[in-house]
Amino acid sequence: MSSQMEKAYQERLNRYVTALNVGKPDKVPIRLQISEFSAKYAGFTLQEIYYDAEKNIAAATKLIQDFDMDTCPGAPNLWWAPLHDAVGAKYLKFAGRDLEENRQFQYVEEEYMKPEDYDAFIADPTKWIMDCLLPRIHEEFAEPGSFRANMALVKGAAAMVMDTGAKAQAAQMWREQYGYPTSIAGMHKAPFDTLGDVLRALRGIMIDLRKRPDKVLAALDVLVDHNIFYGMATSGGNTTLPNFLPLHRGAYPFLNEKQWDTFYWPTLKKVIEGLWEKGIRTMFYAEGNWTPYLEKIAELPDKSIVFHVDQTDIDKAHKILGGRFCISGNVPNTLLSYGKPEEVSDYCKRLIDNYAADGGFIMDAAGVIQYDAKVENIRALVETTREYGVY
Amino acid sequence: MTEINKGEVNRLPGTTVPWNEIVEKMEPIQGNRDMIKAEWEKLDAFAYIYLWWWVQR
Repeated sequence: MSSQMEKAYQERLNRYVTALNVGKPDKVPIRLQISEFSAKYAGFTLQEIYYDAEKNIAAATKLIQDFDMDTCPGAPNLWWAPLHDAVGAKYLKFAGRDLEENRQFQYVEEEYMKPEDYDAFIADPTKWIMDCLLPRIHEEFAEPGSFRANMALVKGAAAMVMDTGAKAQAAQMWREQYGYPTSIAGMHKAPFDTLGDVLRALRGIMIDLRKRPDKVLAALDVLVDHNIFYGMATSGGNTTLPNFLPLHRGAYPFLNEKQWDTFYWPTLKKVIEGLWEKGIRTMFYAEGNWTPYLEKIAELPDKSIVFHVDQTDIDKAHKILGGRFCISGNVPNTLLSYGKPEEVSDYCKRLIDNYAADGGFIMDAAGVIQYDAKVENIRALVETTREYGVY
Repeated sequence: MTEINKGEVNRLPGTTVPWNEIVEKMEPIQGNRDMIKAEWEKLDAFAYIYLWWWVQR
């Protein structure tokens, strides 16, 4: 690595980490969580970034070549489609296969875990995933033990190694050739979301809260240690960058406050505290509105999370959490898609004036930046923050 | 309901086939037991992550 790139890398990383630690760096850090927008900007179809690993990485490289940010958004596809094809994963639809070549992937939500599965899941969730879940969600596993099923397992695992390895190599390349750190290391989920997203789905989990609350609580308890391990393992031992936590069913008003207190928060708090004890900070990516829960979130250890603001009242978030936790966000995605550059610029200046003055603030969109964002608005966000966000 | 095999090994987070379940088949181990165990557990943890990756999304 050239000394110039190493210097740029250290400057960006130091700016980012200083803000994560609620300090005041030289400038307001810019960390954009970008997915499909990268493909559009780089001139690739969505099919190309879902299927072609090299174009997936090239799309992110194009962004850091053209925009002066502090972290690399990473490769835009969340899921490498060939990995899913290898096993016949039927809960995702991909551009170019099931959808038009520029359609964002779609998740097919169903109750892949049945109410009668709770006992087996609670007793041994890893075995249940292998024996019961995968045959349900992977068409190639329709006959467990068959040649097709065994080959699908081999190819699925091999594809994960290929995909993970390619992304790790890309991260090293972004560091060495462009002086960019990545924004996160690894991910985990709230136990309630693990249960309520892929497994029971929204309809199922909502029924379970009424019909079988004890089973839900038992399953959530079992998930705590698994989710801590998942965060640790996927971080690869990195204690500098935050561990991504995309939050779903805990947003208001999916649950009422009593349900949130009973089912959502206790086990999520244990997971965050468990990771923090191991030196891993959580990027609390609060999708939707979390305003009613800010006082509870303030119970967490100082600096253990970065509170990301989507539709949460940022003024209240800053009053309740500011000074103890870094805050990031909250440029509305609708503004990035339908607004004008001067409106984006004004919004960023307001965020900097009102919430960044004492440090501990990272500029970002409210949610992950998708295909519909306008290039000129992303440019306005970055350039305004760079020019106006100097301490 | 899925049947649960009573007396099955307790699979802790990060394990699919725990070391204590497999080591008996390797006995008598001639050389460095810890080296074999450590590498077994690394690969086992990868298998565990692969399975849970389909859920943690």
